[in-house]
Order: sequence, then C-alpha cells, then structure tokens
Amino acid sequence: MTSENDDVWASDEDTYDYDRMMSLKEWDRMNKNFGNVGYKEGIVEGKDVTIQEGFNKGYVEGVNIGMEFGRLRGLLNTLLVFYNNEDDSNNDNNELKSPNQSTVNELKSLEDNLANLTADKVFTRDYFKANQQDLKKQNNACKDDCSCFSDTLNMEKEKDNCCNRDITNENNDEKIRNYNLEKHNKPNENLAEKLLIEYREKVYRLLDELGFDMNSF
Amino acid sequence: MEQQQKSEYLDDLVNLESMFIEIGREDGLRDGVNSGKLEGYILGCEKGYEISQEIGFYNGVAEMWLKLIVDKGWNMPKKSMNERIMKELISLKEKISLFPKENQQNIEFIELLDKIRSKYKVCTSLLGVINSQKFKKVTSVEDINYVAI
Repeated sequence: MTSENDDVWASDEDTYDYDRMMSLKEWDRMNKNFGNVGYKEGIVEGKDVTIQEGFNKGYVEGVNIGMEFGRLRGLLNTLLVFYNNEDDSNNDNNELKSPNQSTVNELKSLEDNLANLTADKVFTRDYFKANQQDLKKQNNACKDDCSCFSDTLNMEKEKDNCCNRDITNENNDEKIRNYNLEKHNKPNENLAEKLLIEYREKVYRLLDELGFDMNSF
Repeated sequence: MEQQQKSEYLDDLVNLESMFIEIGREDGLRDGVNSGKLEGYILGCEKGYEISQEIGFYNGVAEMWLKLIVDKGWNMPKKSMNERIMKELISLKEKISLFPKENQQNIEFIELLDKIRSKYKVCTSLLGVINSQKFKKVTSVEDINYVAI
C-alpha cells in the first residue's frame, strides 16, 4: 500500500501545486511589468506638479548668491581695467597710483577665480544634499538630537517613529550616509553662502590694501 | 452562458492590468513629486545664478567707478564729462535695483535686462573701456523664465 505522497505519477494535488506556482509567477510578472509602466507614467506626471514650484524657489536662492558674486567680480574687474588704462605720469593723485606687480597679480587671479565660478561650483552636490536634509527635518517633528535618528540600527524596527515615517523607502546604507553627512555639515549651514562669505572677505581685504574702504558702501 | 463567463474572465484580466498600472502610477507620482521639487530647485539655482551674476557684475562695476570718481577724486580726461558719467552710473545702479529677485514669467523682465545691458554699454563707452570691460559670458534669456520639460 502506497500513500499519495509516494506516488511517482502526477496526482491531482501536484497539478494544483504546479498551477498555483505558475499563476503566482505570472502574477509577479504582471505586477512588475505593468507596475513599471504605471510608475513611469506617474513619475512624469508627479514632476509636472512640482518642478515649476521648485524652480521658482531655487531661482530666488540663485539670484541672491549670484548677484553678490557678480558684484565682487565687477569691483575687482573695474580696478584691473583702471590700473591698466591709467598712465601714472599724468596722475598727480597718489591714492590712484598703480600698486606693485604682486598686488596686481593677486587682483587678477582673484578676479579670474570669480569669473570662472560657475553655478555647479557654487551649488554643489553637498549643498543640495544638506538642503534636502533641511527640508526633511522641517517635515518631521523631531530635531537632530532625537534618539530615534541617531540609532540607525534600530530603524527597521521603528518604522513608524517620528523620524522614519518619510524615509522608510531609503535603504539603511543611505540613511547612515545621510546621517553622517548631517553630522559633517552643521544643520542649516548654507554651503553656497559660506563660499560667498569667504570670497567677500578675500575681496574686501585686497581692496582694503589698495586703499578702498568697503564698509562705507 | 459559457461565453459570458469567458468574457468575465477576460475583463478580470484587463482589470488586473490596470490595477497594477494604477498602483505603479501612485508610487511614481509620489516619487515624481519629490524629485520634481529637487530637480526644479537645482535648475532654478543654476539659472538664477547665471543671470544675476551678470547683473551683479554691472552693479559692482558701477559701484567701483563711482567710488573712484566720488571718493578718490579721479577725473575723466575731459573734466566736464564727470557729471555726465556719474549720472549714467547712478541711473545704471537704479535700474539694477529694480531687477526682480524672484522668477518673473513676463516680458517686462526681459525688457529690463535689455535696458540694463544697453545702459552698461553707454557707461563703459563714456569711460572709454567698452572693449576692455565686458562680462563676456552672456547667457540666453529665453530659457530662464520657463522650465522646459
């Protein structure tokens, strides 16, 4: 006497299992294929909704920073042109005499740096990353000293805590990377503005050497 | 009867397709909304930066020439021209101060940009530096106001 399980020939149950397996496979395949089609449609549609709004926000930031970078270059550029054109022998004003060559060179290289400062050098990857972190923090209730954020290993367990609600789709590596980035850059630090301040100090110091008091503006 | 059942099965299958598409679409919509914000922001930063760098440059140029003339007592080759150039420089600065800090989707913005550029040319030409003092890298205006997708 043999039990059903020992039967080497396909039984009804085996056929049932086989059908079930195939239909599951088919289900997964359809889920993947049609899901992808829908996802592609959705992502285009979603971008349409927010891209203009994002553009307008970014534009304000770009204008604020660009205006000042341009101004700094304009100040230096004028002096370069001025010293280049001015004939010292005709000039009895001591204050306007051309400075020594090394100062002129410094002026030239700083002006050159500013002229070559394209948008991608000011608004770097890290700038946008830090910026996104700020946005995420605004959306979440807790601050960066919140215990649930620092404990990256427990994140999987606590999917619904105050920090993780919006970022459950990121994998753990990414969370840790973002977290490290956040530790590295102080919160709310604007990297583009920081660069601008650095350059402004350089320009004002050089202009001060040349006898121009920039604080009077 | 059997025919009807078959067509119901087919309906179910078609429904399943559109259900999967709909679920995918919802996920895509959510991700698209998020990435649109960021993509738009990046594009906006670039365009805003490029255009305002030029305007800022003119501003700095006007500022420094005024400083040379007013603070340092530099004179134009013809002293009588001093007043004229100062007037033009101040007018250039005034126009620059009108430059909008926000994205303007209108034609006035482009008109103002043209006015600033031509006023700058007037100034540099009076100062005799029209060929040596240029912003050089000129960006096109058309693609600034509207995002092309």
